[in-house]
Amino acid sequence: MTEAVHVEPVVHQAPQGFIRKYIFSLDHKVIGIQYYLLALFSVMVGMLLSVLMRFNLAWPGTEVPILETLFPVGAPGGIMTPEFYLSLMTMHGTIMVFFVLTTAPQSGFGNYFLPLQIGAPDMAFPTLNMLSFWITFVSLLVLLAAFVVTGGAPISGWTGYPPLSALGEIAGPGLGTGQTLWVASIALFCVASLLGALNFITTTIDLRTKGMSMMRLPLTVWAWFVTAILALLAFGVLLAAGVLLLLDRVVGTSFFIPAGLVVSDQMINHKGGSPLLWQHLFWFFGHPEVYIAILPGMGVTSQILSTFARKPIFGYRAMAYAIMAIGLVSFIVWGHHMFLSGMSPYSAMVFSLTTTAVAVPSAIKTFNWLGTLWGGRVRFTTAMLFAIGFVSLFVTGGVSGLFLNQPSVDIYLHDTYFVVAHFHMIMGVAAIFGIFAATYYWFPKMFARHLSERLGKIHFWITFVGVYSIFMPMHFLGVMGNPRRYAEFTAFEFLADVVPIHEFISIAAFVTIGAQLLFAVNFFWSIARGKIAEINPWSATTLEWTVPSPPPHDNFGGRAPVVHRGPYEYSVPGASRDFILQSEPEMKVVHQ
Amino acid sequence: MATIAPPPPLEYLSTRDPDLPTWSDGDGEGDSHGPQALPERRYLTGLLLGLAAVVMFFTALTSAYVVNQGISGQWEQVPLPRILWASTVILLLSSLAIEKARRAKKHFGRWWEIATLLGVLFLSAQLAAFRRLASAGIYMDTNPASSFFYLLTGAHAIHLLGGLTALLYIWIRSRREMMADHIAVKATAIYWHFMDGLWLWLFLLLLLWR
Ligand code: HEM
Ligand SMILES: [Cu+2]
Repeated sequence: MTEAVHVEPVVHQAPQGFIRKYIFSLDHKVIGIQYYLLALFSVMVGMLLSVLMRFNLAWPGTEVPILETLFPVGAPGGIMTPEFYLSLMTMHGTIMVFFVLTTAPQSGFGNYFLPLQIGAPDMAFPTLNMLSFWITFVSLLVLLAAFVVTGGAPISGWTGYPPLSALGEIAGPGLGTGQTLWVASIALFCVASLLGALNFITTTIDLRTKGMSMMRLPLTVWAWFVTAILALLAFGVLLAAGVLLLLDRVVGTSFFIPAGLVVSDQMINHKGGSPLLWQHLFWFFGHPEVYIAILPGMGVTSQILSTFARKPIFGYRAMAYAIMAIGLVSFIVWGHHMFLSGMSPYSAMVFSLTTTAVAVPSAIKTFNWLGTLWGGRVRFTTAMLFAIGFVSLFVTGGVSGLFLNQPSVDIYLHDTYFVVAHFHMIMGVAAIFGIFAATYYWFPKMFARHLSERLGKIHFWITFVGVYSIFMPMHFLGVMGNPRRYAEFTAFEFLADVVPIHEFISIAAFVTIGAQLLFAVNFFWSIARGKIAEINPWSATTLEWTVPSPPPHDNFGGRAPVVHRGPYEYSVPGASRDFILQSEPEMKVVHQ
Repeated sequence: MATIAPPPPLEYLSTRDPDLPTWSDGDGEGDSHGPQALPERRYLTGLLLGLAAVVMFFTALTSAYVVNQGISGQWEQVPLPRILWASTVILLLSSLAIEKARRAKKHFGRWWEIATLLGVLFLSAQLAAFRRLASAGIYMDTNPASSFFYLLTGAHAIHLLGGLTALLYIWIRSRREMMADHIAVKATAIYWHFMDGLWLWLFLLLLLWR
């Protein structure tokens, strides 16, 4: 009979005082929540911007007096100028990609649960961890400041292509101070992400507890780990690009500005740079970035499907290897964003092939998720619904990717709403579903209370139907040639027929966004009043479910759990209950 | 009949248990965690990862250099100031001094001091190189080649400044305690040698790829 080892825990006090505890905290759990709240705030701003955009797209030219009050320059007479629309779009994209999708799934949930799931007392470098959060915070402030400076926010899109983004005020409104702030914000974000990535990787390598071999890691940890590797390699490149762009703007160099440009009848005094260089650097970061956004969602989905199907994840090793494969290949596909840049058809072919190769590990993951569900005793909790929704969106968005990765097709579809549909499905909404799934799943651990399941299910169904209503029709718009990044389409005769579609999309968007209030109410109400949760309410197997909710300051009370088995031992034949914790010692069979 | 016994209680180890191979080195030092041990080798892991990011950063700059040099059309070669040869030698010597220090445990402080001073000297030489070019009327925004010259040397200098701070810090500490085997010394040495190699790479790039 195995004797449980009795250990005197080395108890020590959590920091006292509000500031050390909640503001400049070194505790990975507090930092995780800080990141989550930052993302929550950002997503609200981002959604607000999209409401304004969708309003303008469906009913251009309508007077909205409040807009004039808020933005006298951007919306004179309450009617949005096209430039103002572009600035909303730029800020929407930037906020969503960086401050929501990069922040909540990785830095938020990863920070909170990675140390818990590997049996560690904290991240490897708590001080760096705190620093990453606060740099991210400053970066967000710098970005938002672009709204209030003269000229307003930049109009060059979340991809910030030069020369537009490099020339300064002369190129258009928002391209003066606003654009400089944008670049500075991105550079800061890069630094914060690099520090965070370094911390995540070191923690996973060096702080796993006894028995937690790599092949016993929960798939969430695999996802955070590989995401951190991608971030470490990709953000360094974006930082370099950002520094060059900043120098072009501030010092007067010409890294991205070619000779002989004439803008607004004025000769531009720059020479010898290459705008294409930015595209290469940006997308070398940009494609891995979309996986940085989506991989944690994949990890969470695996975790949740297994928990609520009461079955081991189908093909654990294949899942881990698929995450690595996706990560690896994501570094050699960036050219698929540049098929129209004049690249040689041979290069285009190579990028097309590598991109298609991503479909293989993606399909492996999808089939394994379906295999996990197959024959399971499925419990349709809200977390489970969102995880299944994630799979659905991932498939939908992935299929449209197979169209776009063929250069000949992309030449037509590039810069149409087809691309908007594609990346919103696979990156935007799928990652958001991952965040929701994680929230409903881990909320009981973080706040010791449940989110309301009833509100949660209503929230899920409106959101699920809503996002399909918003983004599915965009595929048709794209096929009809509806261009992307335009403030209104009324001027085009060939698009007269699609106006009702745009109205439908906008109404769907308002309903869906409105439904997110349900989530906000549920979230804050449940923190205070939700149903009290047990330590392990879902009967799950990973280590975070062995500690109290919320976990104490040092997670395991000055001790280290010992891991005896893999992460998904559900419904093991012969076991006394339908789940076995990772830290449970071998079962004994007793003969009577 | 075979039945299954209820699961035995969970097993825990003290974080100081030698049986906890992965993250207890029992040095009793932990950041926010009082007596809990986080393993010392995390510093080296973290450093190597940091260097990987630095490699990506400079790889991006290098490819930018190669691309723009190839297509620019307005590339006017910068005459490389002679003093760069001197700074190269100085930097190599400083690396040598660091290794000397780590081996000469007793005279650690003396050699480390020399390494630190050589580091300062290197930065002064780089500054002198900038001054030389500026006095010839070549500034950062003069032409693509000059932009890259200032960019590459400047970015390297900033990274080196970080290393120099660590050198100074250890120098000061070494006057009070025995530092030769300290993890910070090892980490700083790795970083410094890496900056050495990086400089050689950039110097060769500026020298040969014109
Ligand atoms: C799995 C996660 C994926 C995410 C998060 C993602 C995200 C994105 C994003 C954000 C864009 C932006 C385009 C723009 O701004 O112009 C994009 C474009 C593109 N994606 Fe994906 N994608 C994913 C998977 C795939 C797959 C599996 C394929 C193909 C098999 C694919 C093929 C493409 C292509 C070819 C483009 C370029 C479209 C164009 O610019 O015209 N993507 N993707
Ligand atoms: Cu891509």
